[in-house]
Amino acid sequence: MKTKKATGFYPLARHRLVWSIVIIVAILVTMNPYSYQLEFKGTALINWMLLGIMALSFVIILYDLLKVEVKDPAAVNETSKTKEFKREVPFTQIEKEGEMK
Amino acid sequence: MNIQILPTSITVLYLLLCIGIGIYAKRLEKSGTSHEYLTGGGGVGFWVNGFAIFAAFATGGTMMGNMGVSYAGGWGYIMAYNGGVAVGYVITVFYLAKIFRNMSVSTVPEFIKVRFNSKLLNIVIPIVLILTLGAYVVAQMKIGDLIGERLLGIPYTWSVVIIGIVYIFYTAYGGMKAVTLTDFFQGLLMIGVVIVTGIIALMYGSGPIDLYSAAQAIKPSWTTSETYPYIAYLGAFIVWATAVTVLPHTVMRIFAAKDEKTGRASLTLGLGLYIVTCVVTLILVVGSTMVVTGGIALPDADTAFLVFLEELTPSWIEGIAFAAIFAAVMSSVSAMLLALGAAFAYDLIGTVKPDYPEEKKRKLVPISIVVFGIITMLFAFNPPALLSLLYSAAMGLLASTLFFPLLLGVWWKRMNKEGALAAALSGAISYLILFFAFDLPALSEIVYALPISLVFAVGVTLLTPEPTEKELRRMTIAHQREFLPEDIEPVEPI
Repeated sequence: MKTKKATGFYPLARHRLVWSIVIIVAILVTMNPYSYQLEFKGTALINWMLLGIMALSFVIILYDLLKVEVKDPAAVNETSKTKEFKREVPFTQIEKEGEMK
Repeated sequence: MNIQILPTSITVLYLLLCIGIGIYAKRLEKSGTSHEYLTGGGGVGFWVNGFAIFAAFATGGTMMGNMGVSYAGGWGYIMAYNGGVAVGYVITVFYLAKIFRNMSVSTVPEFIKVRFNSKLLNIVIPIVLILTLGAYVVAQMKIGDLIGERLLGIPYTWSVVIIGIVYIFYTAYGGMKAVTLTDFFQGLLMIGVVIVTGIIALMYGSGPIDLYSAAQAIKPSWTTSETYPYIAYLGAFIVWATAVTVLPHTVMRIFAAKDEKTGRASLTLGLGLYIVTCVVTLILVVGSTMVVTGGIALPDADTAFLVFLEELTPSWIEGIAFAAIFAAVMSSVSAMLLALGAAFAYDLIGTVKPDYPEEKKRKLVPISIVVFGIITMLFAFNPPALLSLLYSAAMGLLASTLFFPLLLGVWWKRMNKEGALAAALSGAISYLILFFAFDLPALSEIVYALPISLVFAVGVTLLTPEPTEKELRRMTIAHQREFLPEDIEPVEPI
């Protein structure tokens, strides 16, 4: 029997991917030499932006927490848990479908 | 004398309460397994776990050291630390919490063991954890014992012994349940003091804007970025953004939570409390201290909070605030001692002696907590001179070693044990070389060590065989739901 080989990444929820990109952009804007040098009313711009990063981080994980998750009904069913792995459809696809709903 | 009686009474009551919680937690124990001991049985609710996460992460350094850095070097640099902490929480919630929880493991090294099954990696990771957490614990103990000496009016050595005995007892006896419950009370005390001192600071000025302007006028460098170079800002940010995700005493709270969503909710509450603490202490409290002192250089900048308490608060608040600093130290030290004991008895011994019985392993964890507690107490009697430097470096070393093996191990199917080992070793070795052989700005070593770790992780993984789906089975299940005992595949007869 041929052994399957693992490639690629596990799927990530779309909203998490979007928020990750948002926070990476915010970090790049904040943690750069221009923000470090520029000042606004005597305070370095990077200082205020770091406060913004903290607030943004909190808002993001709060949003993630309150977002209603779409679950795979089969995964909720206690009896189906072990049978789940005999499916023809790979898990990654099942999760992707769940996210799309 | 007035200040000694009330705080001492509060402290004695507090210490007795901690002992009582340790005994109570032990009585709540059901199965008596290592997993229950190290995770509290996985039934901790939102509020208790959230405050416990805050208390365990907000250390004596947060309550005193951070304010000292803000006072001496400006609030922006220390905000780079805390901005990193906040991003670290996002990484933990988005990328690690659910999977860790679903993997049904008890510690970070156990995750590494389950995911990669590499004996060498299973030895390297616990050793790095023991060394780095050991430095962290000694630093925290020193702060706590200095406060204990000041609060109780007893010699430093006795302060070390009395405080040490209490937290070693409740940690070793009650395990994660005791640590979580004591952390909950400690977190309540800490946030209470933060809010009260914030209100006092605001009342001292004529509102936040006037207070800020007055402090800025006295010491303009407090609000600019001139004290530290840009690379130090970047290093501080990256160290904490990555260290938070791998610090076992934070990650183990996810395992302790009632369920995966409660774990994430607790992390959110913990972060919210931490942000409030940062803004209030680093800007409002330090700003008002600046106005009180006229911005003069203090002999020891770490005492900025104590100056604030002595000058602006009534003696009873001062006493409770001392107890809160004390609580900040104890909550972190107990959580880290538990992680240390687990790293040694559960992970390291479990690797070196795979046939070591579960029952004996369970007994060895509290023994190793006591031993590590005593060793760190001995170091705290005469702490090394470069302790604060070593402690900060320890966090950078921990993150450089563990961040990519963990993150890529969770998400990249192709990641294999060779890549994880290369990432851990290259991150650790490059960090140590940069730290000891080059004169770089504080914490900036990680700016170079982390990319080196990533390059090795990807390069070595691609050059070596990929893991099979069978090897990834548990990880694949964990991306869907919790891994259950019936999911363990039966061993095929030879």
